[in-house]
Amino acid sequence: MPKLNTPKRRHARGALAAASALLLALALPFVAHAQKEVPATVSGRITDGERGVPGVTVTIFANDPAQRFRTAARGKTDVDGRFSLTGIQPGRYQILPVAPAYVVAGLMMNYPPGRPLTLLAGEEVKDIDFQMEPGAVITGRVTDADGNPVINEPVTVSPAEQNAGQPRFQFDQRDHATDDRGVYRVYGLPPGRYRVSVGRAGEVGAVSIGRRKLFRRTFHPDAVEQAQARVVEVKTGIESTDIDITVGRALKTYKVAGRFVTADTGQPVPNVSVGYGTIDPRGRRLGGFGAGTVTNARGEFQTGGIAPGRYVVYVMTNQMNNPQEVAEFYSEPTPFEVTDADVAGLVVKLKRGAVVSGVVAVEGVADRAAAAQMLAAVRVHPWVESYRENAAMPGSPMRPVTVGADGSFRVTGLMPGKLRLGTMNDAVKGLTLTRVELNGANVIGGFDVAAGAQIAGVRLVLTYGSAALVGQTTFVNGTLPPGGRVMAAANLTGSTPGTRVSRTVEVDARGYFRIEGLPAGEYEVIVHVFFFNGGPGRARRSEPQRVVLGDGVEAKVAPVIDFNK
Amino acid sequence: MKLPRLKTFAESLAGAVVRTYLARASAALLLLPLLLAPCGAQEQQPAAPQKAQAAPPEAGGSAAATTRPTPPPRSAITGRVVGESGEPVPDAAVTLQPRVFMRIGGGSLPNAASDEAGNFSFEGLDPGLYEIFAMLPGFVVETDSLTGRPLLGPYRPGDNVVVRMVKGGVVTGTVTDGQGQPVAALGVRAVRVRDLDGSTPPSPFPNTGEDRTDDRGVYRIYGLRPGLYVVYAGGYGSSGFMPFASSGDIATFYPSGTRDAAAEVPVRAGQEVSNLDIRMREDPARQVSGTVESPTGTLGEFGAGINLTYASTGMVTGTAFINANATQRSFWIEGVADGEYDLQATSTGRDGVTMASASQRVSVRGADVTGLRLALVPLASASGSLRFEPAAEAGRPAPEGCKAVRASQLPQETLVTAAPEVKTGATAARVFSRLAVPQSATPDAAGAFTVRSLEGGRHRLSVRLFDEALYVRSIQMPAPAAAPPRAGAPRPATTTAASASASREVFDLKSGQQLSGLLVRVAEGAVSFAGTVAPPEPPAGSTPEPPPPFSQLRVHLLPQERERAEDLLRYYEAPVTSEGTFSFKNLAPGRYLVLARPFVVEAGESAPRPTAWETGTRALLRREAESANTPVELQPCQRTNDFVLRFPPK
Repeated sequence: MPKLNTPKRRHARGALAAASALLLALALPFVAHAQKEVPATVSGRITDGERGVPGVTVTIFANDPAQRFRTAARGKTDVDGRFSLTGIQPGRYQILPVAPAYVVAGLMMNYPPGRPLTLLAGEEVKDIDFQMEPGAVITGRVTDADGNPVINEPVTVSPAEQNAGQPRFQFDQRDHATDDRGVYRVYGLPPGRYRVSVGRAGEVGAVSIGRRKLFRRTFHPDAVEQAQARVVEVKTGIESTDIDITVGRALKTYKVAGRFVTADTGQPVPNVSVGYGTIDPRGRRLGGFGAGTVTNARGEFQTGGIAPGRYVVYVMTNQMNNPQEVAEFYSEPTPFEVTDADVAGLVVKLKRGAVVSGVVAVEGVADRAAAAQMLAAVRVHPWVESYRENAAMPGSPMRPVTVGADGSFRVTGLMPGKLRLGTMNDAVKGLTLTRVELNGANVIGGFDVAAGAQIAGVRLVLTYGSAALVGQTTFVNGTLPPGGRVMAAANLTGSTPGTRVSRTVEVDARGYFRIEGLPAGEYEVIVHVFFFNGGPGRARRSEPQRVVLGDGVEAKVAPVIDFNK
Repeated sequence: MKLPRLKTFAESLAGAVVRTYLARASAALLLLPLLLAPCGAQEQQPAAPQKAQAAPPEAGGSAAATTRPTPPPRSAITGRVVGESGEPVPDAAVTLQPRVFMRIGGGSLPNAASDEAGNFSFEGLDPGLYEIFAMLPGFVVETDSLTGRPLLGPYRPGDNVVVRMVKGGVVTGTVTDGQGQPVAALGVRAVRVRDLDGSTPPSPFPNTGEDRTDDRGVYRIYGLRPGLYVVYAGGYGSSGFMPFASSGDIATFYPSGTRDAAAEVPVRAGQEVSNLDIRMREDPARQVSGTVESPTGTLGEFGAGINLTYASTGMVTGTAFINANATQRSFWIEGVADGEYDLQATSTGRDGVTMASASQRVSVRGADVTGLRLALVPLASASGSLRFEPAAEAGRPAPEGCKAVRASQLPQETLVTAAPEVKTGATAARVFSRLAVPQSATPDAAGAFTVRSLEGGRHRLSVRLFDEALYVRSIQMPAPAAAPPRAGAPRPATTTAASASASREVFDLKSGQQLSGLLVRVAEGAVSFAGTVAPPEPPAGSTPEPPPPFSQLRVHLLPQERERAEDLLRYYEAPVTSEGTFSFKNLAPGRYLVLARPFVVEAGESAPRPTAWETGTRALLRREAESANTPVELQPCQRTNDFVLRFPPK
């Protein structure tokens, strides 16, 4: 069936209509886009500053992880650089011109990429304009000491100066790798000064997981020290050629072997994924990764391709292919160093972790069956803060756990530390985690879990809300500087400590925003302007506005950003 | 296989994970297919355990290119990576993988790098069959020069392997839009759709090379295995910015059209095929969407995959994935051009593909196709046992060299395959199912095996042996459904010689049926029979006939006794090399008729099937063999290597 322009239902504003929408949502919580509203249209122009740029694809996609960034509309600019996209359902989107060889003004490394765009039913949005200029190109050839091409080696182009402005969105996020002739070509670069390098082993260790060749990081033309790198300066639309790199021999790598045992009984732990992390010269942990290694029936592991350096090895407890019972354990990482020989005999001990259990409750829904149906979509996310604070700890987030029909949940294998619990769901709009209780008392910012503790009596309260807030921000005494981002936050006022409803969304280029699924109550709404990496402007905020929301009601706010303040 | 691309795919997703807490869920959805293999955040393991790519051919005979100068320790596979002229190749990445899908999570795939002398070794291996993958960027493992099919494997512990790497093929060209402007950062894929001789590989999941266009619209895909390729730009997963795995551009095949209008480009080792320029067609892109339903309410541990394939060729044009614990089991596939497709969902658990929907035909005509429902049903399996009969036990003498070398490891080193019966000639009307491929298992040490991931329908069981002393004596099906036998229970010991000869390797499976009680009897005393095909001796004084095109011939062995005419285990066929040689191993002793005849691949037919499988061609084969009348009597343990077979006969 084609996307029709015939509305099945007018955009609902009254409480009654919204209530019926609520009923619909409860009846069909798993059906996305069950109702169609009057579609919106979006048009604009893409120029190079003077003339329109033809043939550029413009895409509008859902800014909603549950929608997996589904495309809502897509089209190309005409000979004059104009585009017009139709048939878009109201909602929150990103709009992105797909012009990888160009530098698009104002398009930064935000996620998801593009500019936010909040569309209301039946809107005709005009003048969504973009300006862009051709990017610069750096190209060259990478060869080894014998003059042979270095094939399929990623090439890194990084700004030579620390404060080279904000990182720009890269359309092609995959590496620019050399081809079978050793040739690479990096394009779409903003003008500036860059260092070009290949290889990823340096002062920190590296693991060649697929047993590919591992090269010492080497800068153009042949420098292993960054200070000796020849900086390449590029200008708009200009191609810099012959930026060649000569690398040394592939690094010699070593094997690391050991075993996993349980800390209490010393039993071997088979079929578990082995994780590695690198340690920098200051002793800081630099992320963790699997090496594709799994322990054998005797709990032993062996990983090859490890370059000299300092590492930790640990149990990747959150891997899907682990045996179920491994979820009861955690491991403290075992450090080791590779210098000029294989390493054997490492022992990683699995400790039985703490267990935290409780229930998830849904408030604001009278129908118990509907509440139970909502619970089926909810996952509880545990996060132990010691993971982040202690540099030697694995950085892997723990796996989310499901919630039983009665709302019960159980999180196992927790290492000692401060536990934060969150919830998420991919199907039901309007569920907000409003408070976490432990033995009847509100918890503020997580609670401490001792080694091996058994903690029951946790209650996670989700509040169902059907109110919505639509905002239109006005900018006075100036315009938004490029790179500035605008966020709108709605906070429920008058809450007791430990109880909060706080939601933040991005404000679109027109100053629009829409926050849905809020529980009824009085909210304080503030709009912020801010910049990443100390961008060109100063952070600003609007005067807080208060608004009372009833169930199923959509209210409007009009915050003002004054650039003179 | 261009794995580094996969690696960076995972990497960019991993980067996305950090940025948004909520985005983690969706990024994880996309990552999941990669997690099927034990996967690092930085690099991707060479091949998923299911091993969709590079399945070696099952063509008759065991074409072992294995050399065994000094047997290494029993539990090791050793080898050497060499270049085109035999020089050692250091730093090649070598991966060892079980030949048959193992339980996910059952240990990691060992990998090694070749040393200065090109040597590698894998030690401490359990008995079994293994494949070896060697990777060196830009290079491929040498393949058969006529077909581009792999030459090697599988291997057993104790084998010593020489892996020869040659420069892969290259395809390159420029992609432009409808106005003739270059298209930047667009994915271009080269998909190996046929062997060089035009036959379709047995695996419907072909080798694919991939690149993205640069700012000039130029792409260059290298390291291709020899074969016939179609090249296309755009389509599913071709957009440069992850996690937007689905792009809206419809696929445009070289030179400028649909899949059916695609040119099939021959690519040979070391060859560069240039100017494969593609002008993007600008037809609108549609979406195909729907939901996946599970009878149990849950999906396998590794979620569900949805494949949209071209109805004409079975080639994948779009995929979607649903996380195992997703509550919303909806899917959509973007960038679909108008046309005919087949759509199927499969769900993967620790035992592999455990559930699948029926494949259904989807017509896309000028609009999105929505509301499709794919109902998963459990897949069937066939289990049984392998029984080994030593020569002495069978009451026959056991001459020297006639005994299995490693009887204790025999079951694990046997390949049991269930192939779905495919009606020939009906290809075009058939709905493509990604499960309509032979599924294999290796028995455990006690001889028990289970072939999984089978759809309902007629299947044929075949057994591949790797010890020259062995042959398949019989295959027996469980008793009819009246008294269903217990799982794994062999037939009563009263099996007589008469019933043993009445072997039936064909069985019918109902959808989701867990068939048990298959019995495979393997005996010592096998015959090896090799020789050459030669033109008839010319009468004295006349000029000799030009030799026939040997590579298009196959040699057949048929049971000489008419009463065994329906015993398919006594039919063997083997390809003829370009030098005219042929070789049979693992033959049952007995009296046979030998016949060489041209081998015809039916158009659109995948995986050449043994000629004797069809009743009609089997009768034809017998008529031709009786007319040619070249009988041989093969004694137990006989080794013949100099037989001269005349073609055409007389």
